[in-house]
Amino acid sequence: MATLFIFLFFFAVGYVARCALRPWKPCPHCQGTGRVASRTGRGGHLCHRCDATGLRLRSGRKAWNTYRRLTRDA
Amino acid sequence: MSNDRHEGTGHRPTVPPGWLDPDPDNRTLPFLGRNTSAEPVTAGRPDTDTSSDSPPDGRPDAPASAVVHLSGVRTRRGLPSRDSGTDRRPGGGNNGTTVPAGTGTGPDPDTGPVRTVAGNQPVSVSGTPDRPGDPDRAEGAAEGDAPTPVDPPGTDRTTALDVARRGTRRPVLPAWLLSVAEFRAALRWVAGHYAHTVAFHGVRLPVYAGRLALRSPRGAWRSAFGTVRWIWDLEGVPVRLAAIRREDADTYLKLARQRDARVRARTAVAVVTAVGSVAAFGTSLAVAPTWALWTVGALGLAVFGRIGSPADRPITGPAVVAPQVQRLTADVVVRALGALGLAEINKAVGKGQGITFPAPITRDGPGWRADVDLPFGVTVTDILDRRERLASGLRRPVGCVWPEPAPDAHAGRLVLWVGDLDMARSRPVSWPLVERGTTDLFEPVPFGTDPRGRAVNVPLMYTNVLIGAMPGAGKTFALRVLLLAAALDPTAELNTFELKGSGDLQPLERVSHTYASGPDDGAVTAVMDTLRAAVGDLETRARTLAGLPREVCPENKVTPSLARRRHLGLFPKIIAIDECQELFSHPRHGREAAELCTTIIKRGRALGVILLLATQRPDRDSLPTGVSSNVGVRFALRVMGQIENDMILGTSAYRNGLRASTFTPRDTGIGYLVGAGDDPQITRTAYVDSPTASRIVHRARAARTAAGTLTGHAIGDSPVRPGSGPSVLDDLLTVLPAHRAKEWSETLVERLAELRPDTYTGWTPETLAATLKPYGIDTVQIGRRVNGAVVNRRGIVRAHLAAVAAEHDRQRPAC
Ligand SMILES: [Zn+2]
Repeated sequence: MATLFIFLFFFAVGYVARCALRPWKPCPHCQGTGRVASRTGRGGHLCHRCDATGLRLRSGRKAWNTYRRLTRDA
Repeated sequence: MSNDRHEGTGHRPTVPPGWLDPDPDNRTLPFLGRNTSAEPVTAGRPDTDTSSDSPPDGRPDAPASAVVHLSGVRTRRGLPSRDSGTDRRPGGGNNGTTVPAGTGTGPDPDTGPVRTVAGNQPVSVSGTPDRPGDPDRAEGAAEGDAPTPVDPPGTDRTTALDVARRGTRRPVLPAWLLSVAEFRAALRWVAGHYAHTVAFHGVRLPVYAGRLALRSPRGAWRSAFGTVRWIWDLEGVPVRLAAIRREDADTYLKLARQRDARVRARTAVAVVTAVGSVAAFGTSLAVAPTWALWTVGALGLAVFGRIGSPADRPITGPAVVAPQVQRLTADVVVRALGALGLAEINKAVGKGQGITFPAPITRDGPGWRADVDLPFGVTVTDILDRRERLASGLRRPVGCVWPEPAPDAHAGRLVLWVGDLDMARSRPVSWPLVERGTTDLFEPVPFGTDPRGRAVNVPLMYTNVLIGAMPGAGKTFALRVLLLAAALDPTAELNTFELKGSGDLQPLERVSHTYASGPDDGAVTAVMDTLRAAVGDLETRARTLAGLPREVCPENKVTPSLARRRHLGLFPKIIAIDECQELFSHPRHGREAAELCTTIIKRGRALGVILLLATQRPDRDSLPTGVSSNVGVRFALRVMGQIENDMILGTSAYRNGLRASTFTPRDTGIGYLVGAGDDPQITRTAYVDSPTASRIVHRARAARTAAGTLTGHAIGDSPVRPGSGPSVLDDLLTVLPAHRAKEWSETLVERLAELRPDTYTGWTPETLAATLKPYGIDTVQIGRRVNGAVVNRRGIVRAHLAAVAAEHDRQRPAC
């Protein structure tokens, strides 16, 4: 059990560090390319989820932003 | 004329349109024809639409007048208002620009109320509307009597040159460039300022070095950190964070690319610089001399120390702490004027108008000068009454606030000078003649400074001076400054009297021809003797002047060259009486003294006899009207009230805003000076204390000894005939050595001129003969053999001379 906690702790620290240092992750929808291939494999279109940048903000960072916004504006 | 639009609505037309315009279709214009700028003046209807787009009938000389509603005119002239059928209300024509002339009792009511100018110019007036078909038209047009404009035509036609003509020319060069003394003073100040700064910092150099060394590590750290920040573009961090916060991946990408490019370029620059520096350092270690290395090291230390200094703690402190003075702004002035409690001002300020500034507020000397146009109906004198309130409104000490009327402008033009320092508190400017220099009484002598610190000079020749103040205001000091100036002119004869026995004028005793001090009758008697003698001297002087040829004495008054010829007896004669109220209110001599002084003031001006009076009780009994109304230069220090003020400064001075009663007890030596310059000015007397006065008198005495003009009381004498008196005999004995029995006058005059050039230059044998005649010394014929021939000339026998001189010497103690 203790091992699990230690593991979770390190995981959390690591995730926070990741959010702080590299807030962006590759867009899961387009694998960071910004383009989505069509089903036929040819052509395709720009990824809407990441506005063709191929980058998405990590959920942790998003949560942090939201938290900041809420506390700041309040 | 009133230019304001009359807002009254419902004015029915008062003028038959045909009257206004012979051509009804040409809807001309309610113009004040003379106004070439075609400014519409619509007295009756504000919405006169024809004004702007119809020029004055194409006639450049168009109607020199506008015409007015008759009833308005009538009201103005007190004539009964007669109704003429058209709807005319008494108040309808308020424009008041013209009155009908040549109409006797006014125009026939039937012809309409309005007259045009000759020639039926289209003119307008109060109500304008064109009502075609007005029955009055034809008849009116035929009538010929023209109204005379109330405003003379052409008054508004001023060109830029006309304006310039009225203007004051600003000096081409500033005052400090024109006056040697002021230039020197300015130069001395600048030099002193920088000398002080250099000395101040020079002494502190070690402290500064230590401070730099202590702060240099911090500076080094700051530099390193700054370099890192620069290389890594840490300035851009907040922008990038903001992009993250907005989840704006697109912007973030751009920013990130920019950052990467910058980091690459800056890293390259940093590496190159670092390599270069290390190389240079290594080379210089091997090549450069030690002192250069030390210098570079010190410089580096200094640079790092400077970088390491906190912004609020600079390395060096200020060498001169400037007094913090608040800038004078229009808002402050308006606020202060509004706080005076003057209803007119408050009304105008409340309406947001009224107080205007014809010129920008500028620095003027050590202070600010604001030219203010007060609201209509408010005069500068209203402000002068409230100087203390004004100072309160300006949040300055009273001694800083000097409101003055502008002498050339209208009564509502206020010149407000606000000094940085309280005039009474600021250091008095030292008198320019304290250390060296003499004066020429034919030129104005230095007296003091105005609030702006500029020198104020007072003319003494051809004028008289009256100084008045309440006790302790600095009256005697002011008089003493003038007397010291007079003492420094070796040709001037000083007669100094001080009737209170305070001894303030005692330093001058050593150069005075006559001197008396004290509250007793002895001093008064001495004054009376001198005054009587002076009046007698006036006769002599007048006769001397009259006897001189025109080309020597063109204006029948003493000139500098005449004054220098001492034997003529026309040298400046100063009679100074301090506390003269003691004289004029003297039970026995008062009346006679008043008459004598009045005579001297009236006649002595042109003859070189100058009266200086100082009084602490300027009222009718203590200051004769003949004196107070004829004096040229007046100086009023602090006085009690209007009566004293006007006794000194002249009738209606108080009303004109010259109010010496507004000075406070601290304003010692400060007063209104009238008659010295073109305009009255507030003047602060130069401060010369008694020891300084003694030193100056010492110098004056030396100058007088050199010039041979030390006479009378100053050398223990009582007055004989000065100048051409015994000193001439003594001088003659000097230049006529004992081994010569006699000598030609010609030779003697030459030698005399060598002996005392100031006194005897220009003397001729005739002058000498005339001078010696009163002593009973006659010239005799003296024959001499010159180049083989016998030459006969007039000359003087030494034995005669010696006998007369001895006689005079014997009489001297008896006087
Ligand atoms: Zn995507």
